Amino acid sequence: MPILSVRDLTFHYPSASKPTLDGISFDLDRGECLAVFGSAKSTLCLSLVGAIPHLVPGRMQGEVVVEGVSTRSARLAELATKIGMVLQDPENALFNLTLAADVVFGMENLGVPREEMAARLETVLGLVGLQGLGGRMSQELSGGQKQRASVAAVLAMQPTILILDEPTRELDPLGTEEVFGLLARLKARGTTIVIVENDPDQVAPLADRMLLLREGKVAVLAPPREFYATVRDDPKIRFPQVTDLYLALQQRLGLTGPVPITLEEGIQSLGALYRQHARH
Amino acid sequence: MALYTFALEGRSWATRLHPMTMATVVVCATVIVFSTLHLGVMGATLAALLLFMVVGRLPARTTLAPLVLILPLCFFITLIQTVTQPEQIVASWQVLGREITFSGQGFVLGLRITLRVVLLALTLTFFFTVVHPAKFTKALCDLRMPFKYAYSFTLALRFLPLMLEELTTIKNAQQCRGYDIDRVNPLLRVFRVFPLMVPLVLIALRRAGTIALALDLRAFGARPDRTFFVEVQRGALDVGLRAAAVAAAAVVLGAVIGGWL
Repeated sequence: MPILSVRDLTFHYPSASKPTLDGISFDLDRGECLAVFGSAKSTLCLSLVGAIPHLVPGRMQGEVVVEGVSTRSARLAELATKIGMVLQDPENALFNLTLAADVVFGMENLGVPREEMAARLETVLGLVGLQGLGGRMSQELSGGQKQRASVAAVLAMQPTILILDEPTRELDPLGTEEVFGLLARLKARGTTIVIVENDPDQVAPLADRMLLLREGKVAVLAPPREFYATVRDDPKIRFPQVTDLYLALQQRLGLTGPVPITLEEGIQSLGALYRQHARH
Repeated sequence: MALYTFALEGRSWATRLHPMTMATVVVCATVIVFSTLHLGVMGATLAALLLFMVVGRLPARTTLAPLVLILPLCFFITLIQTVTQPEQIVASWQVLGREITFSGQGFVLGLRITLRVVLLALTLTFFFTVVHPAKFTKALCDLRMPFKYAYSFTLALRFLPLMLEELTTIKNAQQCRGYDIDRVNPLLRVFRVFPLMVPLVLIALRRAGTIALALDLRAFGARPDRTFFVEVQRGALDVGLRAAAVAAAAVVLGAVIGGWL
């Protein structure tokens, strides 16, 4: 049984003439990572987390089911224990004065006992690599630390699904590395992840499947290798650098092997090509 | 910002006081300074506050720094009283055909009002220095104030510096385009600040929407039986300080009503 199920999801903003999401359907299994590209990504995220239809004005059709619970019928507080969302700008997610206060905020709202809060606080700060910084003021943290702190704040509520809407948009390369390192650890622990991210070099090794939305519809939904092979002529899609290089060489040299999406795979593919040419 | 950093770090016994104790002290000090302009009473109040600062090992530089901000106001108050009070004229000048007088009584009255303003500012500064915002929120909730109202205090403290940062960014962006507000006279500067407020308000509104979403996603206001990670406890010192503050306010108020002050 899928942990997240989206069925014919259509959403109209009040002022829009056309639906922003139009008949979206997909399932997500436990521990799977889905990367989302294209248009209406944030609207999809808001739908998955239940903000649509509960908070965002508009007309929603279809259904989103999170761990067997429809987002239409469940209260946001109930959904918050199943699915959590990390926003683009961590400044907006860290609205308390200290890191610890931000991490415990969600648990406090859910009525978690103090002793359990203390235990979960220690666990999630360790998980995101911010142990010992609980007393630090949120605004004194670096960009990467802030984004990891906002992930910790969501994880403390123990959701099984994590939605991230461009989590590294305002981060430098080091901060981006920190966040993706954390996501890789979370995925290894079995957390289901839906991520909107424009950095193909980081997201390709993490994602199990990639979803391309065009005009609010599912244009491509496939594993990364297949995805990049399908959208190779789409100028709006950025490829991992190694994939870009391989596809360019593939056309010139007539390569037939699988498209590499990580540096390691690229080294293997190009190494094999080099050895083949060296033999001749 | 630096004010409540001290409270968050908990470096003094004063930061462990119950937030309502400090609130009581603030209310009582306000009652006292608004009851009378008697120099002795205000001097005693000032002495008590400074004693609290020393004994509580509050950082003098941080705690007293906000007083610098009210110096222009104090100067203005004293000047107005000095030139407008009609009694005890000690000097007068003709300026542009009008007589400007210097009243000794007005000068003293101006200094008394200044002292009142300083006391009020000092009391509030002490409050923000000593009280942990999250504990204050908890204390307000203990008084049955709904959490969403009590929490707005903490939220305001968090986003005030953020808004100031945004204002600096907008100001710098405008200066890059030749819109300078720093190298003009103070009056013109006030008018030149207004256009900067438009983008600031728009940014604040957009941020408010996102924060509301972030709060809801973290189950804000989901349950009436919300728990708290911070703890507030009332000790013997809290009882003593509250009693002393209330007694002092009652004595001064009684003396004023009885006509002794």
